[in-house]
Amino acid sequence: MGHSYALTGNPNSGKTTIFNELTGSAQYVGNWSGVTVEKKEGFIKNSKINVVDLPGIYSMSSSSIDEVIALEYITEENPDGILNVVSASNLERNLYLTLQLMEMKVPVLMILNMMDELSRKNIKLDVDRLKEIFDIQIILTGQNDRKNLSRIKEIDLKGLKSNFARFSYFSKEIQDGIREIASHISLQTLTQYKADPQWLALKIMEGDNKIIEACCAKDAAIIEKAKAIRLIIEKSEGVEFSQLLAAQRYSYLGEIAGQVLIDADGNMDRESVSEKIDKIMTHRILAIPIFLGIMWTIYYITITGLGSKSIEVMEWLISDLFTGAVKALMVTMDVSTWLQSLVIDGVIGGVGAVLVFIPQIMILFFFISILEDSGYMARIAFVMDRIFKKFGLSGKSVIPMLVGSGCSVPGIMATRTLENERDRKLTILLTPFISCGAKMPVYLLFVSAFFAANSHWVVFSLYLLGIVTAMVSGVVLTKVRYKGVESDFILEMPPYRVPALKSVLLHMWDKGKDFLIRAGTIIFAASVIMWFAQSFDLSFQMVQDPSTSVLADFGRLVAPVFAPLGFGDWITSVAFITGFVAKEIVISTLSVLHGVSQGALGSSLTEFYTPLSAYSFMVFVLLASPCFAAISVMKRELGSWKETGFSILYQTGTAYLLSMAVYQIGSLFIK
Amino acid sequence: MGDFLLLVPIILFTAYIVIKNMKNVKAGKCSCSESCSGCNMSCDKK
Ligand SMILES: Nc1nc2c(ncn2[C@@H]2O[C@H](COP(=O)(O)OP(=O)(O)OP(=O)(O)O)[C@@H](O)[C@H]2O)c(=O)[nH]1
Ligand SMILES: [Mg+2]
Repeated sequence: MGHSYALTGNPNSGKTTIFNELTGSAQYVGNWSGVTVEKKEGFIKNSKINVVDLPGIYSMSSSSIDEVIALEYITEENPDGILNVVSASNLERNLYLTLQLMEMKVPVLMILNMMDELSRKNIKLDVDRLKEIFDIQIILTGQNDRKNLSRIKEIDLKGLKSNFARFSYFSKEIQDGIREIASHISLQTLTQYKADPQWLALKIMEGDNKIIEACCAKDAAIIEKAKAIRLIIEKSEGVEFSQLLAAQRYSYLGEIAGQVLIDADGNMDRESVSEKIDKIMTHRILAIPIFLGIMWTIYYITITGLGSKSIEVMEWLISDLFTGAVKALMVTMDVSTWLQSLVIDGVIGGVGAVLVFIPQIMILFFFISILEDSGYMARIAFVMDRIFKKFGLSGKSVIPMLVGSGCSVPGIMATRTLENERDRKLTILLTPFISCGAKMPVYLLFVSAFFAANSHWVVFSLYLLGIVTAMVSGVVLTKVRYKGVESDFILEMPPYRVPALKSVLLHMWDKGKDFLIRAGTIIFAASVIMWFAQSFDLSFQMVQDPSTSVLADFGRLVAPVFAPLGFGDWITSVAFITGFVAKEIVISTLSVLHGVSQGALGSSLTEFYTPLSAYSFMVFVLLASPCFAAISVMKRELGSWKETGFSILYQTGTAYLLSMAVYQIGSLFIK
Repeated sequence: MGDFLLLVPIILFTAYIVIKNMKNVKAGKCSCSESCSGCNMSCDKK
């Protein structure tokens, strides 16, 4: 059996970056705190060593779901060793966790990351002294220099022992208390709980309910005794016990920092580059225009700039080259005409309609990934927080929404970092309003058919509409349904970093790959089903005209509902409904049902929609209930179908009303 | 003959995808990178 190690460290210290490097995975990396919200496992390349990437934690106490996940793993799953990732550029605070890990007396290997940032600041670090103090091994790494990581394979963490004088920095009363309690912990408890007695003693004294529950709930005597000692200490010091511990640990860490950090040219306290940039980026008045400007530029490049060329190339590839070849092949194989239609109009038509947009999606994610990795996202969250607070919303909701602009699923997951249950539920409901990556192909198809020159403006307006709808909904819902106190928002501002090209490209490739896989599986399946449904009538007879098919009958049944939004035809109704499976399926459905190939789909749409109803169509797709995947994650995170059902109804209702408003009000002005 | 060779795999594959995705949705997890583009980071690959 191979070993199993846990990657632990402060948020944003680079754990996932190192996990990806070690295992060759492509997990989500971003320059803000709270990117990873659940545990991820993988094997170190060419080895039997299992590593687990955990959400970041500042200390061994927790308040949000992601932190609980990390803590439970460390204290309950007994990993063979801990890989403690420490950010060298923020040493003192990172060592606070290291100190607590050492107190547990578990095998710790320190991975000192971000060494590049340290040398950029021209600060020297006495690594040997640090090794000596903690009596542990240290692996140094930094951006573009990860070779030392291979040493992990050579070190047997399980056998590591440290003679670090833990607790020596606590006052005598506390040390005595620890010894006293530890001597009363029974052997049976220890073998069962597999923890160090002195560490347990400290936890019991602190009154850590979770640990007490797990180890010694039945042992009333020991709990009483620990409490008595705690109260005596608190009384004589006049501070809460846990604060006392923290203060004594920090003063010790201050000493350590003084010993190991050598500030070569007194740079440490000077205004950093990040602070200078932030004077503009988070400026009270300029911040929002800058944000809008950046997003507009991204949409301009993705849609009108580079992007529009890519569509032509893709259309040629798919509808001319590939379709031609497949058709020729089927003719030589003597395939019947109806089956040819299934392959060409169904499969290639449906899948191709989405594939055409893959380069644009990848360009978009290239930029989003840069925003995330540079640290700008955290600034947007900070800036939006000022606005959100005015409306009584929590600024912490911003991060999930920004993540949701890639995909709602990780956005919803990101709400795990919110401590407050009310904020969390509300944010889960609001996140799907933000335009996600899968909605992009729908916009791209419609804008290229209806708004040629102003395409990027239209998509940009939809992006804004999503944000505004989320904000307004937030205000309304806090008044009506999610009452309660708002929590204070502490967002750690990460330093700006030059995005690692490798990780940006990896992220972009990963997104592209996702779309390809989706196209080859779920969109493929949906297209086949749509083709069959539009080819047969109720008595299972094949029909010549799709408008006499069973699908058309069904569509016409629903169509009147959508008439006030500007479209009463059966195809649109069916497309909307298939959108619940996955948003891109909306366009593969349109493609299959209109029975035209990629290049011609746009022009055939102009017969069915006006620019106004096209816009209303996109508004509905933007705001209506998210896809099945997102719904199932919503259910998991909300924990009840009732809450999930309310969210879906609210979202779809909002979509209906707004899209109707667009069409009806618009009709007054545009004839 | 050509018909058969083409139709059977298409139907089987479609059925497989549909069943697999329905199961995953029921289990409260999205099928990794199939029904959602963000699943790579949210599927517990156990
Ligand atoms: N300069 C520099 N940047 C790094 C280094 N390692 C990681 N980063 C960047 O630091 C940021 C955070 O990296 P992550 O791997 O997501 O950090 P994490 O510890 O997993 O963060 P959480 O999941 O939020 O706890 C990203 O922008 C990385 O590109 C490094 O050695 N040097
Ligand atoms: Mg991480």
